[in-house]
Amino acid sequence: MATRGRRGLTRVAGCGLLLAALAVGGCTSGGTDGGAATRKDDLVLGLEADIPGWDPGKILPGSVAWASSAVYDTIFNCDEFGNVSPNIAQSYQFTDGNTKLTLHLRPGMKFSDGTPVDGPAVKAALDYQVNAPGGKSFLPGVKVSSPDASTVVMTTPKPKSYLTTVMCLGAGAIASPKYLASGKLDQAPVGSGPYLYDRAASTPGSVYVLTKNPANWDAARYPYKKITLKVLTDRTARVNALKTGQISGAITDASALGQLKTSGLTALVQHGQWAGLLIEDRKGKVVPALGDVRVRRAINMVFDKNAIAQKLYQGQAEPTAQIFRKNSPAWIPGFQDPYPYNVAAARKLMADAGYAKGFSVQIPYIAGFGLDAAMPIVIQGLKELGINAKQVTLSGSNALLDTLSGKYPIIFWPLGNHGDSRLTIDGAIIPTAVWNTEKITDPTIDRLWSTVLSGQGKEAATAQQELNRHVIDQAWFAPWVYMNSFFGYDPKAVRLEKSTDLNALAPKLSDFR
Amino acid sequence: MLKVIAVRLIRTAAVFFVVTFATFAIVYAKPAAIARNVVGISASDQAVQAEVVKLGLDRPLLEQYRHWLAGLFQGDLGQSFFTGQPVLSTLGIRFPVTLALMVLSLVLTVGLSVLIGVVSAVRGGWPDRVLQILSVVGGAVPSFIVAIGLVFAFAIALPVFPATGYVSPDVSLGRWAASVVLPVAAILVGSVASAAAQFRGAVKEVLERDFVRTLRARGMSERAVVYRHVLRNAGGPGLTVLSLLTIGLLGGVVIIEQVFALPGMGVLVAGAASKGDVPVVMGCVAVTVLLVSLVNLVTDLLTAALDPKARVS
Repeated sequence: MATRGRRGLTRVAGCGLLLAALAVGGCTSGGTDGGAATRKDDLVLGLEADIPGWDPGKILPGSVAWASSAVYDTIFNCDEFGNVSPNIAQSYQFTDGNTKLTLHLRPGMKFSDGTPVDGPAVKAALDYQVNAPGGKSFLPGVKVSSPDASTVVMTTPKPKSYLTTVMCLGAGAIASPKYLASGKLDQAPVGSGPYLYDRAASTPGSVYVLTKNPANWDAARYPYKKITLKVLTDRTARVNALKTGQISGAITDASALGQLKTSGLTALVQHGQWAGLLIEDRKGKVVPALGDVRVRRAINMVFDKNAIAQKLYQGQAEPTAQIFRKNSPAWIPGFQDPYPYNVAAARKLMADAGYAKGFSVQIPYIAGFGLDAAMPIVIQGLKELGINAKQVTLSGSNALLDTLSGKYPIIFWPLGNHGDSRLTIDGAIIPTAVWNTEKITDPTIDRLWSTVLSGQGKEAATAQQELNRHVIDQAWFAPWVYMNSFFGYDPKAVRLEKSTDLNALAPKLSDFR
Repeated sequence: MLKVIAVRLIRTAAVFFVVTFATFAIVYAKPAAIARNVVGISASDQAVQAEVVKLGLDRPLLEQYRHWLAGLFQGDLGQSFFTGQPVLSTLGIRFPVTLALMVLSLVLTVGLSVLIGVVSAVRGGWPDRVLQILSVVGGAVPSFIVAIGLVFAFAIALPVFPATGYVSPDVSLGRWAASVVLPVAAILVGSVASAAAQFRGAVKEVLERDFVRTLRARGMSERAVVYRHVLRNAGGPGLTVLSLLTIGLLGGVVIIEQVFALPGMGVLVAGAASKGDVPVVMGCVAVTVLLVSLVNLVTDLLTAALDPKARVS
């Protein structure tokens, strides 16, 4: 029996040794998983979330759009401010008061299944987008026709000056109609983009491999023969993968900057978000006090933005009174903050409004959105005005929907802004905006937005700036800072000068040189 | 013994139906919220309602569950609401990763904890004291901290193992082993610390029983007493510890999979739950319930085999 026991132990030890031997063998032969981005022709990037599949109607912004932007061409390309350049559409006319967009298609383009990217195909693909979830918000009521093989006409029920910008985004991604009709959108996407999906080499949910499409009209803009996207949802895992050379780039955050530097890595700084309070209950439907502009202005004045930028965001933020991205059309250069930090003046405003003793308000909180450190500051700041802010913790898959349900008078959120500020107005200000949770209407906003939609150029830009001024005057928001976000990368493996992403969430594939 | 197996199987089936139905009722309770998650936060109410109908969420809950159950028995767990991937094929890719982690961790935990537990209980003295200190420390340090430390030591400072990622054994056995060494080691620190202390306690308790004194009095060697009699008697509690450890590992690997970016079931279910991909969540729940039931069944049967009294109870 004793001998049998010793044998059992010997087997266990043997298994351990075998595993160690295999591991060492694996290490010496492969080093690390996949050998990383050691070849100049290969680009290996980390994704902070899995891609939402290959359905062109469900494309999300940011790094998760790398896969779809690799396989699908969009109607136009855009730079970081939404300035349009040709892609599938070689040229266009925007007529009839910004309600008719005529697209002249690039000749000779083909999908990866060999079928032509012509008028009927683009019409079918755009029809699909109009009815897709993304299209329902960006392309409501849009009609598409194809008068001939090289022309597509999009008509909108109301003027929509930024339809061209929308055609750079997921809603403008064009997939093969045959593929769209197949009902099997999860397996092998068929587009005309600069890369082809290598299904055999990929593991959905973990690794996506894309090989260069030599037939793409703009192949020269994409220097890499192969792109590998690795899903690394954990921030620490992404940084570790960067430090060990398993990937060449990934989204990181301020806390990783020191580690990146000591490892010979660097970070591209992006400015696509502002943080602050969204005073949703501007008409005082839930909390009557918030219907008074003096109360909303007082809330703006109790937060020391400079201190917040330095202490809370460790200097990686810039105080602001505007929610629009710097240098976007709605942004006002040299604008003086009308609500400087002044608690005494804020209290006087509250007293003038008849709320010297404050009131109570519920503020939603969701874990994992970077709200943890900021929420105590929000609550403490409001307390200076006697406002009893109660944090309501939301969790689960419906937490964000609940936040946007319209029942919370104030929301604190790091909200994205866009290089094309019309998209920010569309998402945060107008009555149909997702972040206008109570669907508040305002005649001044309606008037200015109408000018923005039907105009172009300077007239539209001036209207956007007026709209910005109005929103600030009415204190719809209490912005704190523009936040820096970071894309960590290995400068020895990739050249990355800037991000041309309209959302400033992650560089586009064409930005990697 | 056959009766024991039959009773356990019936109990397992009952647990499976109760747990899966309860989960189903919870995750499918709000059809509109599910549909809105799928079509996006900016979709109109009409679009949401259309999606509810499209996904079949407008049918009575019992009918939906019956449909899911029928699919399960036909090997069809539906498709992900977001990626369109069949849930079964997704699980087919993810489950082996989690299983590999669990099996390796479990085998090594058993080997190491039995060895350490027995040595500690039998020899006493400093090995025992060291074990007790280590078990407190090992149990107190969260596995993700251990994981980060291991990555720093063996992937960054001394680049021996990969920091992240998983290689299938079909691709390369050596690279597969390399990819699981650090995750398994991170799990082992906590699991061995906990299991070894439990084994030590069980062995020590048996060593103090009268029959052990009698065996020693009859002149039986200490080694024979321990291996032939004490271990067998300590096996029952030990198995219970291991079954609980196995079930605990299911939760623990979620964190380890995140830290090492392993494409396992833990990461899958965490992602699916956060975005409301209910078919994937249900698929993961079904597999988990089956796995836990199987572990309990095997534990019961092994306990019954080791201890005749357990068969009667």
